[in-house]
Amino acid sequence: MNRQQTPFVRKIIYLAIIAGLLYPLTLLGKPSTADATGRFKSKGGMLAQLRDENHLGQANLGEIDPSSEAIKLATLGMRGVAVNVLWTKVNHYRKVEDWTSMSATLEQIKKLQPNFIAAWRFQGWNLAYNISVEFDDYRDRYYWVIRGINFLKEGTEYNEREPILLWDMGHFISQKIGRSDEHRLFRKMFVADDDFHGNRPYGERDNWLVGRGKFLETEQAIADGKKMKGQSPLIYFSNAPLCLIYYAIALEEEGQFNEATRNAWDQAAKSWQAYGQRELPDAEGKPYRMAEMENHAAKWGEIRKQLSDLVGDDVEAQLVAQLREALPAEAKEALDTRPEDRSIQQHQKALMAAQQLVVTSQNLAKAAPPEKRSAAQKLADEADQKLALVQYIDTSRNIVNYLYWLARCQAERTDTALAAHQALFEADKAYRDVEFELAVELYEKSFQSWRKLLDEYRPLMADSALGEDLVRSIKRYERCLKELKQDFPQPFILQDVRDEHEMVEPGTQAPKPAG
Amino acid sequence: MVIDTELLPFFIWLPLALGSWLKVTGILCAVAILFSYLVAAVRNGPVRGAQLVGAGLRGGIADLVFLSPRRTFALARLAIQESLHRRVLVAFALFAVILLFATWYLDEATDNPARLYLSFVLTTTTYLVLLMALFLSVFSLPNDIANRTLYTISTKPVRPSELVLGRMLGFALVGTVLLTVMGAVSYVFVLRGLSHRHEILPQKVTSAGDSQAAGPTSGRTELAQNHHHDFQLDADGRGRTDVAQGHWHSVQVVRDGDRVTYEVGPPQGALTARVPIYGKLSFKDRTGTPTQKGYNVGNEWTYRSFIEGGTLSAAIWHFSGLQAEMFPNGLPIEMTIRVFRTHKGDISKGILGRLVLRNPETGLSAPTPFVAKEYSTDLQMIPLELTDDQGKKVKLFGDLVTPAGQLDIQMQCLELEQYFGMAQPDLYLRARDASFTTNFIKGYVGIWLQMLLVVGAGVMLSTFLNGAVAMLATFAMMLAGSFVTTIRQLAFGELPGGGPVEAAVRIFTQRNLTTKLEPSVTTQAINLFDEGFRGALKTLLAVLPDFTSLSDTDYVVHGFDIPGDMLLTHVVTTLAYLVPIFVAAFLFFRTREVAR
Repeated sequence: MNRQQTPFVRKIIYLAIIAGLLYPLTLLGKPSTADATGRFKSKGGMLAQLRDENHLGQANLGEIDPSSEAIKLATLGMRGVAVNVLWTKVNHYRKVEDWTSMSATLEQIKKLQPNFIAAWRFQGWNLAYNISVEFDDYRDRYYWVIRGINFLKEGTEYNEREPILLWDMGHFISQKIGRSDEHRLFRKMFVADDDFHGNRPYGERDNWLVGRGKFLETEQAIADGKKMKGQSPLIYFSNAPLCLIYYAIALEEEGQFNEATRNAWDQAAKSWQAYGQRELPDAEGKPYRMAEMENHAAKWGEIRKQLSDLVGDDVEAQLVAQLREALPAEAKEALDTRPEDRSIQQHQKALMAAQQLVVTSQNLAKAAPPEKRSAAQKLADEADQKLALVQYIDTSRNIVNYLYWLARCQAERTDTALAAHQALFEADKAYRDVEFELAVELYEKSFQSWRKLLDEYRPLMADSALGEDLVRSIKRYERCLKELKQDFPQPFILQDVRDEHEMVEPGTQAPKPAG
Repeated sequence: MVIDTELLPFFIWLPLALGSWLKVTGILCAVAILFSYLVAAVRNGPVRGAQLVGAGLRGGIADLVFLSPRRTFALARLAIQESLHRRVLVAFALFAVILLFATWYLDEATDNPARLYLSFVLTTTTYLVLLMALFLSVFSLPNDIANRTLYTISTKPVRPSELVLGRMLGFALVGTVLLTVMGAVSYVFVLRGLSHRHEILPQKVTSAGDSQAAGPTSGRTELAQNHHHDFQLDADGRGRTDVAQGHWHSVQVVRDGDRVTYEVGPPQGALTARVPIYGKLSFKDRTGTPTQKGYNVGNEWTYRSFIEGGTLSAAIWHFSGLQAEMFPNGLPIEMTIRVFRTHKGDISKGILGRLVLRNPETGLSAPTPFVAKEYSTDLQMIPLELTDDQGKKVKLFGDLVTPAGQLDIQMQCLELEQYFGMAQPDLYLRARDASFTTNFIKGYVGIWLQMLLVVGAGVMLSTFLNGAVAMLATFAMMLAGSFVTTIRQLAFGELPGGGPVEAAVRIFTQRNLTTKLEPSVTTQAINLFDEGFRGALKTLLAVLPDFTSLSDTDYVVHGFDIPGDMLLTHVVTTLAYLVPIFVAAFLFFRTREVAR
């Protein structure tokens, strides 16, 4: 090889090496291809497959926006810095109440961070909750609430069927529009908002129904394999049925006491019952159903009885006697005193003592004769597992107020409930119209229906919102009587509601007797 | 619009500024001479350096006195040609590309598109023109020296002052032409971007009468550019829409036989140049005692003060120089106030307030009620004849405005436990409207002044630094000049967290900004270093041009006419910087061998 040929040969070798190295790269990076129906014709190279498996491809995430891609490239790798500056600017513009610049900056942030879910959530909340309340006019407030919702909607376009964004949308549409101080005005504006609803029929525009739709979309996205982060299934599965309940309540608040309201309660009841029957995962991922708590409790009772029978009935009695013997003298005295005669301290002591007297399944199994101990231990473990499940379901029920809503749905479907609500609504109207005689008549009619309803559905007594509404009406009734120079009836038909829910203004409480 | 510094009339400002300028120029000249001497001394030894500087000063004065405009312009022409060779038009091409794709990034749902479009074009133009000026000015002389092309010129009978000034003028001219073209394109871009028409569908029009043809009608336009308008028409079929996104449209019924259509005019009121007359604001507390500030309702931003409703608390604007011929149709009061509710009250209604027009000499007053509107400009047109507190008719000019043109406007919130918030510029008299186009040009004059400063500073720094270093130095000056307010706060200890060392200590020890450092020797050492740093910043502030104060774009964006006094102040300020910059540049350049 002569000296002149050497560089040429070297270049050829380099080119060959480059081509050789590029070939595996092309195999690794080969893109996936799809047919007209969107099904894979080829899964592509390893990188494409990994991207697909981990949902990292832009096309997996949602809409590809050329403007977003362009601005990301234009930052030349300084996207993080740019985003930090923009977030600081948003906070500054919010502080100095420059909403136009703030909106423009948000526009830039979403182009730079289209797949950063927390940014969509944070800024959506910022618009709908924090900025909207800066405005005095309720129409301006509504405008910013809708901007917040639309911001999230845009987020769901960039991040297709992202459950948490769909859930946020459902939450904003249902809760912010349906439960804020301005909810009566917001709900009317929402129904009339053609820009937001487009072709949606008027009958389906109620914020609770639209919000429920978003919650159902969230559930569907999760069912299709999308992950919901930071939310418990117990909570997010309760949202859709609760929307139906609040929809029915809203109809009543707005004075609708017809078949539509009864149907709304029917739907709500069915939906809540279905929620109770839904399989939910517990903390360890094991499935349970809230409606099955009573079955589990009964089963626990059976196992416990088997255990008692196995170890002998007198063993449990002996264990209780031993535990009682070990109690301090005050605790024993508290237990021996009749409940109605106990002082406050004795009540507390008796409560604690009663807990100490409980014989656990494990203690019972340990007390079994040696030949039966193995079988007893097995039963005790089984009983404990069942008890833990019952307690877990009970806690879950309390978290979502399961029994209250169940009772409420059942109660509200009755004629008595509709009559009670209608009479109360009309009585309040008569009160506002200064027709005191009519108001008194309607209040009394309503209170009778409420009495019947509360006696039949006791869990309703626990609802503070309902209780406070009733107390407000009772006070109005009292004022009407005063105007008519009539005495407040004694005994009063809803005195228990008053005792339970009437707020005592600070400083007006009667002093407690000394000692 | 937020105005947190009061504008002084030009002729009051001038003597004050002149005194400061003489002081600063003196320091700058001294620094320039010292630098020239140091550079000359390093290169030629201390004695020769001093001789060179002395000769430079003598020659410099001669150069300045005998400066030839013909040669200067010839050199300026050369600089222009050089700029064209260096693809200066790339800046314009870049600008055109940005404008082409701008609509992708501009928020269509914004509550004020005019503000957004104006802000966008003015900001983009500023950045591009300043960057272009930076690149042109800093590389020219170093490149000529490196390529030895300067030797060709310096052998000609050309003075160094002409070389420096020629370059400055040439680059300034290139920048000016570019800025003019950008301004014209921006103007068209804004007009086209805001231009839209709404459609009105007959089925969305409701009539007060039996048919649409008779009686006043109202309705809603179709969606265009993300907004609707509600409109009202009188019996003649003419009317206008409400204000949405900062503009309104005229509406007219067009009848063609039985067919009724609606013609909606172009947007109006979006691009304005209001000429406001501001009053001086003072407050009264809830007992009616005069105070300088109102109440703080807990806002982090304390720009606005609040007055308490249902008490004697009030905000009073003291106006002067009002004349009847300025307001032939009444007194147009425009205000943007804030509302702070301590309880919700009636959510569906605004908070009631009243404006009391009061003669400061006689005490005669006439009230006008209003309902507060937040975040929008609320126009209250006060008629020329009003009713006073006793129900008697009074004349605006004659009874309420004093012969010297003074008038007090007092604002009160009428609802108990509710508050109104305001700052001085939040209420003004809209004397007239100036031309938006002229105001737009004035806004570009502000950018032009900044560009001149960058060109001057770039050329000056390139006389003794190489291109890259001169670029970095000029860029640092621009950057620092854009954060003068922050630097001032840092220099005078107004920012929480202390100076650089204290801030670093806080970061590493994870302490918040407000906790005081424990008294110790270390803290004393930290404070000593930070004091030194603050001293350096104070010196820097004395010579650093405040780029943000030269920019008047906020006025254009918010629809206010840029006051002539302000523009004049900015022109004179820029000149005040350019003269010493030119002298310093020339002196630096004379110390270079190539210039001799």
